[in-house]
Amino acid sequence: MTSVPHSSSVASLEDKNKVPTKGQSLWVDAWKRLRRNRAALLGLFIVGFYIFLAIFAPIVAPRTYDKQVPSENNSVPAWLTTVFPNMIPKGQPNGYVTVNNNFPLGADNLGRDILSRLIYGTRISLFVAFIGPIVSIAVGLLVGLAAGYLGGIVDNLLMRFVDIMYAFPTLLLIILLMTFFRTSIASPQPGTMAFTLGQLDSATGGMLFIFVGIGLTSWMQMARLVRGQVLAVREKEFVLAANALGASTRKIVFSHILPNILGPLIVAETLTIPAYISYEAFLSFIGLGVNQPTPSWGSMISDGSRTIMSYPYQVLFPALALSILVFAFNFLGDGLRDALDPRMRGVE
Amino acid sequence: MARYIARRFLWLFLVLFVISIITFILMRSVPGGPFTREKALPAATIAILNQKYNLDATLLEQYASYVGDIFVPRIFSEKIKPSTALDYLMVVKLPFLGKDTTLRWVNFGPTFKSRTRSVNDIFRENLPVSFKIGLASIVVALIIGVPLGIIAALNRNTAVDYVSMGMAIAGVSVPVIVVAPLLQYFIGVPLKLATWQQNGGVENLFLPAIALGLGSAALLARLTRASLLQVLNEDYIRTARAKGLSERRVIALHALKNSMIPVITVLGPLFAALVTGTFVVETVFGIPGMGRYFVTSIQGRDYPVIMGTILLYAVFLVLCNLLVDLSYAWLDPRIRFD
Repeated sequence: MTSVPHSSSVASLEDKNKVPTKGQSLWVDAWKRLRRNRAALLGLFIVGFYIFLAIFAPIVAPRTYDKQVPSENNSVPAWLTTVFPNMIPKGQPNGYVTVNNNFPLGADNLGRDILSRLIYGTRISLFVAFIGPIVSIAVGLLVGLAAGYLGGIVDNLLMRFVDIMYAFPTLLLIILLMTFFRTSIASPQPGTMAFTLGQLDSATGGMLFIFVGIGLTSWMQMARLVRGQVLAVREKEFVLAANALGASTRKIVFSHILPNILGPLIVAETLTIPAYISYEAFLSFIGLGVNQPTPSWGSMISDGSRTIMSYPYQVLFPALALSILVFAFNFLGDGLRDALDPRMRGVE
Repeated sequence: MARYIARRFLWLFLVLFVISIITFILMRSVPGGPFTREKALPAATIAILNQKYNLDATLLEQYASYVGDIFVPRIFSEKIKPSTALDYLMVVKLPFLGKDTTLRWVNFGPTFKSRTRSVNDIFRENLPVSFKIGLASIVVALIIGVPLGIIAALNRNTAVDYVSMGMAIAGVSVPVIVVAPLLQYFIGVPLKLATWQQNGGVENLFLPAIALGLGSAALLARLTRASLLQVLNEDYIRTARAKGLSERRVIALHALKNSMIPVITVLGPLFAALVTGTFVVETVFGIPGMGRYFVTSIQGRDYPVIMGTILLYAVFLVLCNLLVDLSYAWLDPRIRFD
């Protein structure tokens, strides 16, 4: 859908006018196509902006995310009361909202600055967006490569296992795994692996187990894709040639097959990033996400939706932040797919 | 065909077996038990509770008895007192064997959180609610998604296409935890549909169905568009046009049916996921459905409920996928089952 304004014939004419001095690599070519896709560029720009916010959160955010001002809880700036006429300021009949301009986007029920929490919240969503695919690729690649290249009974067993895992409700499995991790490391002895993992988890604000949980439940799609790609590539002549030259299995798989199947994998993972972001938001929504007071948009939406009738802005802002980021990744993913594999344009 | 279906049912049992084992091992490895309280219960009380619920047996015995209660039909020769431990979904009277003789089958066990309810009670009372909402949301998804995709495909690369696909990306992008509270505030409050009314009827389904259906609608729209575009390039479409059929007939009779295959494919898992309940929408709108049990049972270590909900979902999913596969043969006559 995010197709390029130029038709392909114009593009090929442009290419013909330039005398090709040397072959263009897949990636240079893809970048050229991506640059012509305005929707994808917008997505890229928004993602870049969020990355900037995440890195420079301590500088950009007006306050820290955990500073509480109890006397000013649920206070809103004046402009919000005009956006939401239902929020009647104190002093008017039935008024209940404290109006002051100390917080640009208002304060939450503990008197914390919502804008600052939003800015710090980009960190967790982006971490999930980039590390979720890595975990999923790591597991999926191993299973898929093994099944695809070794074939036979290994292939059969692994793929039947993948089929069975598909019948598992993903969210239930994540919840079960998260509960398992969280409580297993709650009070272990120092020196054990559980203790180290627990330390690592609390050092990351509870993110470690989110990655593991999401990764362990989303590798199946990747494994199927990798297997299919490997099956297609391993019959090609260059694999036969490498085999004839006496290359080891490991060498063939990792230096000959893997680079040739990377494109579709990256596209597939980019298109799955929105799902990872939503998973994290969901986990935080049900209270299994990051530890308090680390801000996550999901837990902000969850907290806000309890008081949505009185203070709707506490849901609206994190909801907007979350939707815009997912929107951007969707555009970017579509654009990357068109750019890396023009044959797949418009095909899901 | 019959052999194919039989094979698929065998597969269902294998799936249920593996899933129940994984779930059982995983849930019993989670520290803490169903009777772990902030203020610890006396050891004697816990011992009695464990004995009552058969939790002091070995894990293997517990698993075997759990599976046995579900799959093995039992014959009772006398009336049994209603209890949470002996609550069977299927009761068949066998008058020729004695006045009170009954064949009872499928017992998912008691729930640890209530003295008067069994897992079967949860299925009986909460599943229909979730089922209605899931069904309504699928209807919403189909009514919005498929026409949107068709319109976009027929107006390929025009403003109509871009606008509808832009809407579809927006729909895919907004997670349900965002849609549900916002719908509730901006539409539910003015229309007085913000929360589930016990007495109410169909109007209660309206907002939850939209909240759940929008994302699926967007997905269906994108699939329909892509698939219809592909089908329109097929030879049999050219043949239909060459025969001189009107464009409307070509699209409606020849293209659309075949292009529904990918749509039906995602509809299967979607249906299974939606009708077994969804936590977020049920929490936001206060709906007494199945969804919350998926979450609360794990947090409360309510073992029979965990197993019951996961198995229920798996059964739904495998059956939906079977229906999907069978519908292929109707949608595309070239597809046959060996």
